Amino acid sequence: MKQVIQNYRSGEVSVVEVPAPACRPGAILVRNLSSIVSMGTERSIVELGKKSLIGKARARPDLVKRVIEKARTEGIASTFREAKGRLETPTRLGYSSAGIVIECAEDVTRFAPGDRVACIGANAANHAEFITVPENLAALIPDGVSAEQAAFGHIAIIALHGVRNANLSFGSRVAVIGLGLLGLITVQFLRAYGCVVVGMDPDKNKGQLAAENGAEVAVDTAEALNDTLLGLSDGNGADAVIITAASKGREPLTAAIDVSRFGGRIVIVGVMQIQANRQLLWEKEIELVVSKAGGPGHLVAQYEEGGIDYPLDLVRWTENRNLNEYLRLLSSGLIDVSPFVTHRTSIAEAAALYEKLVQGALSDAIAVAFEYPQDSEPERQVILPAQVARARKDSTTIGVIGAGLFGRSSFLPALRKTPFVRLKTLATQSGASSQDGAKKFGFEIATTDVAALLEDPEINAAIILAPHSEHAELVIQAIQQKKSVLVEKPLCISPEELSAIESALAEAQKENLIVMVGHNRRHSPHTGRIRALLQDRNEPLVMRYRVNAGFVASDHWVHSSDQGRSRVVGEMGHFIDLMQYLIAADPVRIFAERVTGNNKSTVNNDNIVALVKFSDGSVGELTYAASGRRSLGRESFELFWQDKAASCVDFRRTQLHSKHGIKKFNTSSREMGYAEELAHFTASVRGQEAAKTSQHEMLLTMRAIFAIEKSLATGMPVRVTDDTALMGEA
Amino acid sequence: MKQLIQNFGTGGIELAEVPCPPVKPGHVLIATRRSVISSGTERTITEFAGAGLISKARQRPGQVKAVIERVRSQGVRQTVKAVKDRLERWYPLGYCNVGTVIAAGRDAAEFSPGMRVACNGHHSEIVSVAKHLCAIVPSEIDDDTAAFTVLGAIALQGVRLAQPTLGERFAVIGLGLVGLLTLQILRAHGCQVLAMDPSAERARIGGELGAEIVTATDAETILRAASEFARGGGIDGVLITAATDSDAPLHNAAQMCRKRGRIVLVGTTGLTLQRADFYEKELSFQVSCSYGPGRYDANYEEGGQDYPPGFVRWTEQRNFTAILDLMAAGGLQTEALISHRFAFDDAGQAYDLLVGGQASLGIMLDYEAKQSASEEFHKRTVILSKPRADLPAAAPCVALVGAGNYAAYALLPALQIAGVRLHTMVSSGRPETVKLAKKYGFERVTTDIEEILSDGDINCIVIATRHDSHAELARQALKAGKNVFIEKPLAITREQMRAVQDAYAAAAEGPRLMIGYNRRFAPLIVKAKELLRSSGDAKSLIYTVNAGHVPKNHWALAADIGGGRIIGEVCHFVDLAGHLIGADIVSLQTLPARSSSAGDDDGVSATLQFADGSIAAIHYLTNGHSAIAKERLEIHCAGRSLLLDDFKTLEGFGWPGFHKLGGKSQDKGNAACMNAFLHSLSAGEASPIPFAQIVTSMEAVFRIDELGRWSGEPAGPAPGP
Repeated sequence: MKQVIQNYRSGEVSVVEVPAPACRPGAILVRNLSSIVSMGTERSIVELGKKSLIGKARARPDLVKRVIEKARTEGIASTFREAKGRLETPTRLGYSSAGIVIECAEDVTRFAPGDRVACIGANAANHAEFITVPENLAALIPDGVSAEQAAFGHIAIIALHGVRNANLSFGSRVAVIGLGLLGLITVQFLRAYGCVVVGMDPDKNKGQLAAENGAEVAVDTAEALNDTLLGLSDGNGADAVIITAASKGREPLTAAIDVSRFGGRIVIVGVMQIQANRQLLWEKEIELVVSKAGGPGHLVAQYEEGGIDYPLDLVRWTENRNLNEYLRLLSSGLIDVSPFVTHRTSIAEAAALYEKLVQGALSDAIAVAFEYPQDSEPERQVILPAQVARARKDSTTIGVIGAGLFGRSSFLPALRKTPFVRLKTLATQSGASSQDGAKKFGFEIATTDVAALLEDPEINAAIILAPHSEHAELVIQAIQQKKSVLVEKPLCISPEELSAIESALAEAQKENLIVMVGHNRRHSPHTGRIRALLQDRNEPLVMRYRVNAGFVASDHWVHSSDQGRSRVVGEMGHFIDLMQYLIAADPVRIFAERVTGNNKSTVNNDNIVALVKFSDGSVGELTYAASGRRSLGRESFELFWQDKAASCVDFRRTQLHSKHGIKKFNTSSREMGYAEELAHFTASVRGQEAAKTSQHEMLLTMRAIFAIEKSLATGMPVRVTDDTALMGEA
Repeated sequence: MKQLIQNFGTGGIELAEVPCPPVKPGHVLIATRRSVISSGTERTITEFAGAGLISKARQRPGQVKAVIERVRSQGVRQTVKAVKDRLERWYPLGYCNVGTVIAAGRDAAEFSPGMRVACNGHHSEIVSVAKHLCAIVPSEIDDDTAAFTVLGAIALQGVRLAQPTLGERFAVIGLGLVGLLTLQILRAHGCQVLAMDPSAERARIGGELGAEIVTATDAETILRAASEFARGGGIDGVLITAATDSDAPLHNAAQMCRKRGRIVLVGTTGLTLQRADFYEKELSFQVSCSYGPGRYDANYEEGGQDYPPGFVRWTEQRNFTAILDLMAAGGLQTEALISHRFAFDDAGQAYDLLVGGQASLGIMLDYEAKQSASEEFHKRTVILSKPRADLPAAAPCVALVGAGNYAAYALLPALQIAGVRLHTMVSSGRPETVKLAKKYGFERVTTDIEEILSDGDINCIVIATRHDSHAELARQALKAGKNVFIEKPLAITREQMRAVQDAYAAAAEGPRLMIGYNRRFAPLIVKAKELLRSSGDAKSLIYTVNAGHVPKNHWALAADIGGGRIIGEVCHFVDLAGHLIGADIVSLQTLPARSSSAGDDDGVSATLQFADGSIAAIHYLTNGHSAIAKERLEIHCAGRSLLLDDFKTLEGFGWPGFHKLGGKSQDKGNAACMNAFLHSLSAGEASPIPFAQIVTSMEAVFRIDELGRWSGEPAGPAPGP
């Protein structure tokens, strides 16, 4: 299918052939009929993209600071890789469309295939032939409303939320400053809700359009605005002013303050400098509000992706209820946006249109509607002919599922360099990222169809980089399809999943399949040096591991019970596994305590100390802190035994202490063991190396993690081999 | 552990020995330190429970109507039984609790063992409370004070609705616990308060807490006092915290208010508003709901979904915290609110005092002695009785998981008469399950599933939990080598079903797995099957199910809990059609039957084609009236027809020697179904429904469910204009 994307580094906009997206839980798959380009907003996005690296950095000083700190702790090379990965991720353009539902996820009952829907959201309603849209970002289009008008949804609700923020009532006098698309729709909403509206825009043509579509009067200067409104309000001034202009100057705000009545309200919807004159605000006790997007729920992952709703009695107008209200007003004829479509063009011509837009050749345009061919099929895979390789007997044929930030910055670059590997298929949820990733890392096929990847008989090893909640199911499916598996940690996120995986692992063993969890640290050269020093150990040791993991907000997906469960489950496998590897014994008992904080600015479960007793008598201590400052460095660990000691800081500086003195091993950047891990995995799939991690060890790592959870919950020590579910949880 | 419960039928109070609740995700397990009996609220409940049947009916006209409709559709006998069951239940009491966290479930990491929390837990030695109904108690607040947190939140919610501003003058009518807390909260908002109660003692306390007081009961004196208090200008707002049937408080409140004043009702009073009072002054009136936003919203309370503070500043939990902060700052005095104090073991005396009508205010129950108690206290299994001696050795030994309404109404009576050993009931921790276990003669009741999986005596596990856990419990039971009876559905997803199939295949002894497809065993269906057997012709079935609307928030509709109504209920009818026709399903088609524009509770029309040429049309509809028959089945075959009306009558047309069977009472075969299964156990026969059939019909149901959402070709209207 065709999709409009922008290369964030070069700023170039192109129409690319990418796999159609998969439907996913909580979402619908939609065939677009129409999508809208709002001239003002999209021009600013595209222009930012066109800026040089320096220009972008100047526009986002917050991100630059983060990069510098990261370089300090993790070395320049890996930081550069991550920053580059971020910049090279293609941006999907478009955020407002309408189309026909062709598939609903099992848990979506609000829609049925064949329904026409309006879609919103920058991560959903893109300029693409097929889009996947979460339930809360779509609304049923009433009969008699055209798809093209419905496609204005996202822009319309931004206008509508601005109107709501003005706290108006029937009969209010309102000024709208700036009569671009947002302003014109704002005028229509105000009119539909019984307000008297005066529009202002220096462009007389736009004023004319506003006057024809709902404004009492439209003017082109601040003075005229003032005069007209005073005339219409018995000399009192405007009850509210809505600024929908995009401006670098302070003129719109000054004009708004001038025209406002005492105790009036100014709502800023557009992008502008907010520098106001205190004296004038004081004189009129004006209230100033900056309106955010399309209403409550916007950019809240729980709402937009998770599909929760806010109770209507407490939050009357959410973004979705606003969208439905816009469609209702269209249906009853109280609003009509058709006069604002100044250009229509096929999606195939999109690149040329953006070129004109940036060159300023479309100065008279208000809204452009993209039209879509209705005869194409949602092809879920795209073959990249230039990259198709011949299968070689001595190589491992690999399919990769998922390519998030970690995959792009660390894992896939390492995979690309791994010898004797044929990269056949890359599967991700979004077609654009799959196509882009496949091209960049040398895969032959980009797809959104995970089942097809797993069923491909040529592929003999699957690498799973998907979200944590999908790991267990994918591992089991891969084993059923007789593939070897390398799954990023964690192996699974719940004890129930673990018990299902246990049976699958037995199956894998019968089939001689390699199943490995991406506990890369045991493959780091630093770990290798320390393990060598441990070789002759015959007494128990003490090991401490400190992780300064950095803050992750409590509403991040990693903390949600159905997606990540917790960072304990998601990340601590790394450290437990490294202890298991270096101590070469089983964890048998665990006691853990967490801090007691507010669980928001201090996330309790992310700040813990766990003590682990091992079967050989050794003791490990894991300190995991998320409240610290990252500049200290991320990880360090130390081991003590038999007049020897070893330490490692951030997998860059290792010291080995023995009676022979101190040996040092330093590397210029963090050597986390990704490349070695991949070399080992692929070699063991080919049968050239014995697997370094036993199934017993992998299962115990997860059991230890669930034991940490249980200990945190009950304040009691927990035996690792006990039933690891929380006390009483089935 | 012990819990205070009330028998709803007799109104009697007792301290029951119940199993300690499990640690649930999103919940906190708490060892209670203190709980408060609020004389107002709890007296109302206990008096209601103590009232006779007629008087109860008078107090709840809505429920009476539901009962009458039930009689119409199910007959008198079944309805009486259902009502009686409900009345005999045990109800937990109490909602003002402070205790120490024993364990914090997953997703409740803001709490940790050892913390003191205030919560709305019952009068029970250990309570399990959803995290949003708990709040951490600052160390400077003692237990006695913290125990008033929930009552404080009720008062606070009333005050918030009244929107007091600094310097306003408020009246509080009724000085029970909530009234005395309300006046203090108003004072904390910088308001002046006039408090009214006929009791001199309560008024005295109100006076000490900073209010001006009125004890008069006649309107004239009250209004004169109010007018003086407001310096002749009228009261800004009134909070009514009294419990009475009289309209007087509301009438007085309207009279004393200024123009555009606010009246908020927190208690219960007569509600006849006089239009003139309200019209002239444009008064606003509001009834305050419990502790604040989030109350009774399952997503918030059980699901742990918070509301964004930017839009909903005060939720019930944030109200708890605000009250605790006010207590910590010394703004809320509670010592004077405690009129009596009992050790928890003597709680019965406290209720005697309430029902006896003795003057009381807050009655504090003290659990201190229990804090050091031994493991006894945490026991998750309670032994109720010895094994029955009168059963043959081969009698099946049964454990039941999940004792909800359906189990109580259909499964337990069937088990009781089946002559089997009722070993253990696994309960979620609600006390009424203990009552049920006792009533039906179970030997034990537990909250720990491991107890039954590892018990060597138990050879059969009956699963009647919510749909989402059926498959996982069945898998565990099969793995433990038990026979399994599952209420439908077998599973709510294909993955779940696959896991059960794997476990079934892996089980060594060839265990039985039965689904509670009771309709197959209804006497009228047995007759119909017998008649149909005589004909080899293809059959046509039309099954109309008037399933009725289910409220949007019902768990059965939640995809992850109930699996939706198609998976949860349509499986019955698919199974029955397959059973009557006696052939395999070869294809099926569906149409969604939308019941509302919201599309949250849709039905479906599914047509199944069978290998022998038969067809079955199943119309599962959710938008009909509840008074007409719930299920109707027409069967046509070789020029003859059968008509089944709601499992009450079966009429035959063209059948030699058969015209009609049945009468007014309904029998859906619940007991016969259970019996058939239990008989197969004791007789060592195969399960009454072959496992392969169970899987095939479930497979068809998944397909029906999917087809409603996704069809191979794009369906529906052409692209819009």
